[in-house]
Amino acid sequence: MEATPHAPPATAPEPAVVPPADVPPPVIELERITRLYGTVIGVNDMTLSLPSGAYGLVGPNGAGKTTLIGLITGLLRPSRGQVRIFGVDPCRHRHVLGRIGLCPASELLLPRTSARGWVVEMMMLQGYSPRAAAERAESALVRTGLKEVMHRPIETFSLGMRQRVKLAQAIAHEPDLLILDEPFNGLDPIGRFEMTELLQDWIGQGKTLILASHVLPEVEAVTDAFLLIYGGRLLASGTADELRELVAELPQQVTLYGRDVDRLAGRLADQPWVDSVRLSPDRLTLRIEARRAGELYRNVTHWIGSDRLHVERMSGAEGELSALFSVLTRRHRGYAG
Amino acid sequence: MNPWGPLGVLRFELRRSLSAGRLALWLLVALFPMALILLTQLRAAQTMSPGYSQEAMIALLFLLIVRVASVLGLLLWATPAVQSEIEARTWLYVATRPQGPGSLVLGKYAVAILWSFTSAVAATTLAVPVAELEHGLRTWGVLTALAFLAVLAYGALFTFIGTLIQRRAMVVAILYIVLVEGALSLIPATINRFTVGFRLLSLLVQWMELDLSERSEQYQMLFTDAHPLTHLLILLLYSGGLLTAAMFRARRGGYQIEPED
Repeated sequence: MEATPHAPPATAPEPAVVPPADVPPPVIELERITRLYGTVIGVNDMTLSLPSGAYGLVGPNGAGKTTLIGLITGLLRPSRGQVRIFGVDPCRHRHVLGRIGLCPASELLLPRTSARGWVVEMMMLQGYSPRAAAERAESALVRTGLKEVMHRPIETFSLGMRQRVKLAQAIAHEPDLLILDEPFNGLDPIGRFEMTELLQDWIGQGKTLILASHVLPEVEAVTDAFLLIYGGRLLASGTADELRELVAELPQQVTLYGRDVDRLAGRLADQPWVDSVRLSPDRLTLRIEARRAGELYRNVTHWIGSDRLHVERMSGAEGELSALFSVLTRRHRGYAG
Repeated sequence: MNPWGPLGVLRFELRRSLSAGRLALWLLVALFPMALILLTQLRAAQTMSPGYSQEAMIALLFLLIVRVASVLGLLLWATPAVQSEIEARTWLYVATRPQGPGSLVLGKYAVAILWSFTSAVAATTLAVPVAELEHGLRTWGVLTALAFLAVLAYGALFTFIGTLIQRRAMVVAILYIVLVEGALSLIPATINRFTVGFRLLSLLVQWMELDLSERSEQYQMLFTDAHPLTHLLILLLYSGGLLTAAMFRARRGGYQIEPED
């Protein structure tokens, strides 16, 4: 994974390296961590080292994102392995939690409480005096667009407004590491746009952001560095381009439509990286299973040009990140390759 | 520990607690000892019986105010310290602050003491005059002091149970109160010395200078004539120990919050 202005490289699954004394430790270091719930695995033997930057933690529901966040924030202890945040174990050295801002996915159910009152309490729990806590709470609520309604009870808020309250308590103490779990839930298009802007502004300050979501375009709008998680394992990490390159080396199914696809079938049949070629009875659809998708795309596009073939459409191309994820997930499940 | 955390919880919870339901409950706890004393006196008047002796009336007041009214308020306030946060889905926000869990335990303990003690004081203030005692003011003072010690000790106990047992903590707390503090403290044997009730009763006997020398030997095993400071020290150690354990347990966390992702 290449370094980008927003996201320096993430390494996985290489073991974490202890940096020299003058180099700041990675923001997040996971060393072969496993978290078990009885016999169910939440996170499975994960190793990761993340320097400061913005990362999208992407995975379907149940992938282990919330468990991973729980381990990073000291809410959960790993069954095996070590977690270090800013160089220390968050379960033992709880002071490090003061450098983390967490916005969980779960809905707030607080009756008879104003947004301001709750965020002030959170800031006092952070250790601020009543006056400082009030200043920080108000500033964060203004920043999240709740200036006019901060004295209203949270129970009268829309889902999107509650998300903003949650975000306000996460950023009010100016943490170095902000972790958001599904922050776009319940936001309307304008709210999503504003949230994206706010997060981009946050990243622009050089702070670290972990944005967990199962909706890829939302993450892509904020950062192009991804950690793909599934089944408690880190499937892949890198920029969107790096992940596409990675997928190019993975098996894929591609379908071509057009009147000349039968001519392509002849060329493909001899290639060692092709597993199967299936032509429809009307000879207008060609389904290919390739062992290395990169080879397939390079050659097919070359042949279409050189032979002047008429091909209308190609589906299953892994240009979209969602498709990348689908391929990686299938690979992990053992369905492909 | 930074004092702002517990203070923040105390302030926040006090504001939230000013609801009609909570106030009604506070009033109910404050009124019921007086109502029961009135009923006993009414019945005595109807049957032309002499009614309770001074000692018996003090014992009844002690039972109603120190052993029941104080406990009722605490059950509602101290026991669900963690569970109420989990239900409101706010535990995650608390647990990820450096001193969050400890501050929450201390803050909620303080709120529980404040609500329960004020209702116990109100109950004493209303019930003692109705009881028509010779030393009304002294009885009021002693019962108020004992109620304070009771809320300190039982509050710490219930807070600890609330952090130890995530679900049905209130049921466990009630069972503990009935079986241990209720039944065990009334067993005339050494084992009753391990209860809060034994210490409170001993202090009542001493501070009210009740003469129980003519009672049976077994009856006299329900309390001790050890110096009051001994009882105070034991109660303070009991409360402090349980509160520390509760803070430690809350900090350790590991509560089931919602289906894990």
